[in-house]
Amino acid sequence: MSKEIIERVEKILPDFDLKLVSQGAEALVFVTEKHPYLPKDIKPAGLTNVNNFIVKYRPRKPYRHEKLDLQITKSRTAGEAKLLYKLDSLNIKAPKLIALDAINGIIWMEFLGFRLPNGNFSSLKNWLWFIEKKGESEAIGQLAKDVMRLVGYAIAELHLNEIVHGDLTSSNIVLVKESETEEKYSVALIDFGLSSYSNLVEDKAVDIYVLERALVSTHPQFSELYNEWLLEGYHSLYSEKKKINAWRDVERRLAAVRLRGRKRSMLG
Amino acid sequence: MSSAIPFREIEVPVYKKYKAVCFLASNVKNCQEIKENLIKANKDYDYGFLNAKNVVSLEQLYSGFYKTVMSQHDGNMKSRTLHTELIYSLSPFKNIMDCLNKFGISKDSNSILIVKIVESETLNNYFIKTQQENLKSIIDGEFLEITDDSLQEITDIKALEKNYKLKIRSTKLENNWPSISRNLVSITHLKGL
Repeated sequence: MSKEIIERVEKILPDFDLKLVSQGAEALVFVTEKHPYLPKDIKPAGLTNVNNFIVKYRPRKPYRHEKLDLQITKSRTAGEAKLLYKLDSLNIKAPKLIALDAINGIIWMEFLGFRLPNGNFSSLKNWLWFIEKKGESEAIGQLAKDVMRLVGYAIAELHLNEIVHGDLTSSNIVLVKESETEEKYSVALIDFGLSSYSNLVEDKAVDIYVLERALVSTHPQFSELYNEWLLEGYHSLYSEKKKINAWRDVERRLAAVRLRGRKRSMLG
Repeated sequence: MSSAIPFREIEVPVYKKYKAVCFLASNVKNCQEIKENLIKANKDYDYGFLNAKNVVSLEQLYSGFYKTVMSQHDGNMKSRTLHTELIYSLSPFKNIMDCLNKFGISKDSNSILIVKIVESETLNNYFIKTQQENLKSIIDGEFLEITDDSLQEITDIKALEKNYKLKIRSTKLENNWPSISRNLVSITHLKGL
């Protein structure tokens, strides 16, 4: 199955050396060193990495009617690309849009992140695992605290702009190097495939709740602290923007969501 | 200087059927005449003429070409020729006449970007040479090398902000070329979607 999909994308993008990096239900993500249309002597502007690019491919779903499938693929792909542009224009750290082939379900975007010393990609999950291995003092040290607060802050930025991520996990959060010499990171959110515009307290609370659960399952030892710092960071932007009431609404709803789970009760 | 005028050849992967050759002219004095000939569909004027004050980078130009040949390939073109389609792709307007008037050449344009899109096999040294000679005779202006610097020298940021509604950006745009270029490239790719 997956092999056929990869053959299909290689047919759409011949001459590109595509390396599969992740596969979800909705899309496959590849990395390539070749820009979709610029020759080597022209570097794309405003990107942190000009030598690697992400290709996100939404394959066709054979079980859907062909016409409908084409329409769904096109609108979801275009929707995600528009959101990336929106985030860029709001100055929120996320992959920037490089190119778009909506009909074929392909988005080209900026490659964010780097290789950790253990060779793994710098997702929040991998990074937390990496520092957890170094011992407790690192795992719950100042840097971990700073990073988790940045994560909360980044989510709050999204929510205050009425965007919900829809699939927040520790692998959809990426650490980006801010300095070559020091351990200084910024945080970017990736994979906006399930994102939407929403100003509902419920959606925001569920966004945070989903990440909390993800942290509990992937980093059980310290998840309590991580979640605490996450909320501190989230709260800090709300207070910076003097949106304390909005913060209280989310906080209250989050408590309710924690009790009942992600899905709203169907009763009543 | 009587030597050949500078040009840049453009081609992209995947959509290899067409290539383009581009020229940049500044201080053009006969835009009115060019426009009139364009309207008359004079064969010597079969180019995409872009008002260069709207273009900030080669990346933007490439993204427009990419979008154009992709639309051609997918049978999605919104206009009749590749040249107008290029102008349409790069411009922020939906109405083709608006695109041509505000983004294409007008009688008071000063600097123009000239793009000739042709089937790839047509484009050879001889072809480029005839284009250079033709352009020298129909354009009364100074021909420049197309680089990001030469384009940005010509760019009218105020017009860009207005046409593309870039004011809504929370970043400071003034002289922030990478961010302006990024924005315009994104707008081109999202055009019509």
